[in-house]
Amino acid sequence: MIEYMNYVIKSLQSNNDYEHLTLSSRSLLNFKIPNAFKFQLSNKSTPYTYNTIDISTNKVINGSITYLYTDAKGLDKLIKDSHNINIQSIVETYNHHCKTLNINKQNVDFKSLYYGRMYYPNSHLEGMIIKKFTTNTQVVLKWVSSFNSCNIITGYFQKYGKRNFQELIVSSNDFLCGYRFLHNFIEQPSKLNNSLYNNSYISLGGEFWLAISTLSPTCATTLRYCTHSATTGRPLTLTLSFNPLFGHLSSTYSAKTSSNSAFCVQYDFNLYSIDSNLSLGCELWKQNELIQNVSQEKSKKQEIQVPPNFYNNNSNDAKQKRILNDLNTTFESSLKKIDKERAVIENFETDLYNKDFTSVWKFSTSLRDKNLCILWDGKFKGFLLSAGTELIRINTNNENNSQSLVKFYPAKLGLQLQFST
Amino acid sequence: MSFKFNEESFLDNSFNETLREKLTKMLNSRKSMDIKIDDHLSYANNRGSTSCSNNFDNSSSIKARDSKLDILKSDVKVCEVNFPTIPNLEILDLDVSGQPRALAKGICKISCRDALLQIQTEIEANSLLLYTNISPDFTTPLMIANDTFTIPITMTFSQIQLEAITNVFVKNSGVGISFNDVSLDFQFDCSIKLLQPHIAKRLRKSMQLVFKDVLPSALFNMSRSWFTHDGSSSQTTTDHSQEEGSRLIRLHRLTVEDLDLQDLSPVNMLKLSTLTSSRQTLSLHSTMPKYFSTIPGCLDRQNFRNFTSRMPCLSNYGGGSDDGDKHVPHIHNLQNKNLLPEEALEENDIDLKAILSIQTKIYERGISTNNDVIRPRRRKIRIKRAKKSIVNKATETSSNLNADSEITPVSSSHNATSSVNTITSLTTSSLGSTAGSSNSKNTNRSSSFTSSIMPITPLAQSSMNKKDGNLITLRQDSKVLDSMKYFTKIQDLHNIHASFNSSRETQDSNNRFRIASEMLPTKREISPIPTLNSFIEPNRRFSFVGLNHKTSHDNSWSVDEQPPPYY
Repeated sequence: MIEYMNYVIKSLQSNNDYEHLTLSSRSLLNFKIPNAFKFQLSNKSTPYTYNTIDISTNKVINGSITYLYTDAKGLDKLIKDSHNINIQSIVETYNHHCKTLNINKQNVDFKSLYYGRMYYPNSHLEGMIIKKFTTNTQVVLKWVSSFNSCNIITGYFQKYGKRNFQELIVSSNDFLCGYRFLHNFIEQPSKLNNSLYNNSYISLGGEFWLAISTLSPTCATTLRYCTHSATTGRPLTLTLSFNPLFGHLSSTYSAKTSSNSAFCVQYDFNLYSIDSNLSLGCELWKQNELIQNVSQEKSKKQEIQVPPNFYNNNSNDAKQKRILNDLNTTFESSLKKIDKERAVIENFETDLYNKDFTSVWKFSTSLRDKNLCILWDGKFKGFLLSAGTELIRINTNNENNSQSLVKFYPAKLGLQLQFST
Repeated sequence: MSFKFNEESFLDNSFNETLREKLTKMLNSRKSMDIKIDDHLSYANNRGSTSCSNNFDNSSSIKARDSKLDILKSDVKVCEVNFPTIPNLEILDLDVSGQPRALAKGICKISCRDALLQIQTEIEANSLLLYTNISPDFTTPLMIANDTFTIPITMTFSQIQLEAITNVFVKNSGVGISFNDVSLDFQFDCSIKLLQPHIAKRLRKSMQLVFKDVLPSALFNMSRSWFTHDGSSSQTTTDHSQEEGSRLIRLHRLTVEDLDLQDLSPVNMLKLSTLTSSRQTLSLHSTMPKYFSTIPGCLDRQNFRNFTSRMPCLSNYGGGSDDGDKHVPHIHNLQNKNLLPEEALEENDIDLKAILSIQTKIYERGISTNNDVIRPRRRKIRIKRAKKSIVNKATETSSNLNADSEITPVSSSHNATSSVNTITSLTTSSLGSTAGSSNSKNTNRSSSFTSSIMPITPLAQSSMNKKDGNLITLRQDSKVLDSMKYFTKIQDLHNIHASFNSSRETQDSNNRFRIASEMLPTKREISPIPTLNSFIEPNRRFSFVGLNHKTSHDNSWSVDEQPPPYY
C-alpha cells in the first residue's frame, strides 16, 4: 500500500517516464511487504500542506514526522481521505493507461513542492524539493542526512516532451551519473494513425549509468508494448529489458484478465551465465457486494451504441458528403468493428474505475529465490489496512539424508494501519 | 640441535587434504562472520528501519556501507593443494640459555618449493548493483534490468617458492615467530584475465601484512593453546631440562640425532630433574651436618662448608675434630693454598704424623675415584732406585723456597717448617701428577695406598730430621684408613663418577689442572686427565685446590662465605 505522502506526490507526477516502464510487473511481483506493526495518521491541514505522523514497533518503538508543502491548486480536491478513497489509487497495481485516471492529473499544475521527513529516535532526515521551471521541465532534489556520515544528495533534471522524456541524474553517492530517456511511439494521433482508434502503443527507453568513483557502469534498454484484448477489451502489457553489459534479458507479460484479477509472468535470462529465473504474480480484487449488484445492472443497461456514420463532416459540400457516405458504406463492417472495440475497451475502463473494491490479495513467487509473498490490502471502516508476509523456503537436511524437511520460514511479517482525514 | 620433518607424514596425501580442509574453513570463516554481523545488522535494522518504513532502510545501509562491500557470491572453495616437496626447516642459531623473557630463542630458515594452490569462488560482476543495494532507497534512482551477474573465478598459484628467515622465541606463554627476510615467489593465474594484474598487485601488497602481522599472531595464538593445554609444563617452565624433554615427547615429528642423545642420556635427565625437584621442597634434611645432600651423588651448596671442613687439608690441621665451626676462621687463609694454619706454625704445634695423614688423604682422594690412572708401582721403583736424587731435589726446592720465604708472610724463624710445608705440598703435587700420568690400571686399593705413602717417607725423613716422627706406623694408622674409607666406600660418589666418566675423558681443557700439571717436576706429557666436573663432584674439585698453588680460585661459591640460609 502506498503511503499517504507518496500518494500525494504520485497524484502530482506523471508516470510517463522511463522508471515507470516496468511499473506493472513490479507492482505485481515485487510489491512491498510491511515488516512491523505500524500506524500512520495523516491529515490535510490546509489545501497546500499535508502532515503525517507514524509510529511503528518492532521490538523498539520508532517514528517519523513528515511534512509536505506544495503550491498546487486543486490538489485538495484530488486527495481524498481514507474513508472516501478509491483503493485502486493507493495500491500498487496493474498500471493500465486509463485515460479517465490520467486526465485528472493534468488539471493540477504546481510550481514547487517541499517535502521533509524526520525519523526519531534515529535522527535521520529526508528531504525533497521539486521545482518546476516550465510545464515540461522540472528539477528534483533528494537528500538523506544522518549522524553516521551518510549524507547523500541526488539531483534529477527531468524534461517531458510530447512523446519524449529525458532525464539527467547526478548523485553524490559514488558520484553516480545517469541519463535516461523514453520515447512513446504511437501515443498521440499521427499521420499514420489519424483515423482509426488507437488501442495500442509502443514505448522505448534507455538508461546509462556510471559511478565515477568506482568506474562501474551499467546500461539497459527497455521496450514496452501496451495493448488491449480485441474481444474482451482487457489491457495487457509486454516489456522486454536488455542489459547488454551484463547480458541480462528480462521479459514480462502482465495482463488484466478480468476486472478483478491480474496476472504477471516474468522470465529473466542471462546470456552470458545462462542464469534464469521465473517469477509469477497475481492479484485478486474483491468488491463491495451491494454496490457490485448495482453496477452489474448498470452495465447491462449500457448498450453498445455504434454511431451510424463514422466519418462525419459538417460541411455543406454535397460532393464531400457523398464521398464520406461512400467511405462509410464501403468500410462499414470494419469501421463498425473498430467502434465496437473502442466501446468495449472504454466500457471496461470506466467500469473498472467506477467499481468499489474493498480489498485485494496479492501473491508472488520466484523460482530462484524460492519464496512466497502474500499481501492483503483492504479498507475497513475508514482505515486502510495492509498485512503481509514473505515466506522463505529453507531446506533443513536431517542427519540421515533420506528425509530432507522443507520448511517455510517467515522472513517478513507486518501489519500497517493508515488513517487520513 | 637440529631436526627435520618426518617424511612419512608428508608422503601420503593426507597432509594436503587436511591443509585443503583447513584453508577452506579459514577462507569461509570471514564470510560466516559477516553473515553473523549481517544478522546483527538486520536486527539493528529491524529496530531502526521499522519507522523508516517506506523504501528507507537507512540504518542498515549505512552500517553496511561502513563494512566492506562483499563481492563474493558464494563460499570460497579450495580445489587443489599440492606440496610435492617436504618443507625444509633449518635452524641457524639456537640459544637455550635461560633468560627471563624467553626459554629459548633461535633463528630458523624455512623453505618450501613447488607448491600448488587453487581456489575457486564466485564474484559479483555488477559492481554498481552492490553500491545501489546498500544505499538508501530514497536517494537511489531505480534501475531497470540491473540484476546480479555472478562469474565463477578460479585462481591458481603455482610454483610457490617460499624462503623465510624467522626469529623464534619460545616463551612460557607460547611461541613467537617473526619473519625477517621473506622471499615469496609464485606464478599467479586467474581465470578472468582482465582482473589478473589487479589481483596480483593487491596480493603482493597484502602479503607483507600477512607475514608481518597475520601469520605471527596466528602462530602465537595456536601455540598458546598448546602451552595451556598441559598445565604441568607451565608449572615447571623453570626446569629447562624437563621442558626440553617434554617438548621432545610432544613434537613427534622431530628426530633427535645420535650425538644429541649422548647428552640427553636418561641418567642425566633423571639426575637433573631430581636436583631441581629437590630445590622445590622445604626439606631441612640437608642442613644436617652429617648429610651433605639429600640426593645421592650431589652436594648442596649450603653444605659445602661442612664438606670442605672435612676434607683432608693442611688448613684443617690442628683441629682434628669434626666440628665445622672451629675451622671457620682458618678457611680464609687456606682457600687457595694447602698450607698449615699460621697459628699452628706459631705455636710450633706440628704433628708430622697428622700432616702426613692429611697429605696421604689428599693423594688418596686424587686416586680413589679414578682407579684406572694410578700407577704407583712405577713410582715406587723410582724412589727405591734414586733416593739421593730426590733428596737433592728436595734440598733444591727448599733453597728456592728459602729465597721466596722473604715474601711469604710466614716468619723466617720458621723457615724449616715452611720448607717442610712446601715440600709436602710439592710432594703431593708430584704424586698427583704421577697418578694422572700413570696409564696402568691398579685396582688394588691397598697397594696404591702403599705406593702413595712410599715417596713421602724419605722426604719427610730428610726434612724433618730435627723432629722425631714415627712413619712406620703410618700405614697402620686407623684414622687415615677411616677417612680413606669415607671417600672410597661411599657408593654415591662412585656412581657420580661413573656417570660422568665419558665426558671427563673427552675434556682436558681445565685450566687449573693444566697449570698444576705444568708445575710437575717430571714434566711429562699427561694423557687422559681427569678433569674437574663442576659442582656435582665437589670432592674432586677440592683436591685440586690442594694441588694448585698459583691459580686463583675463581669459583663463585667461595669457601669463606657463611652458608646461605636454607629456604
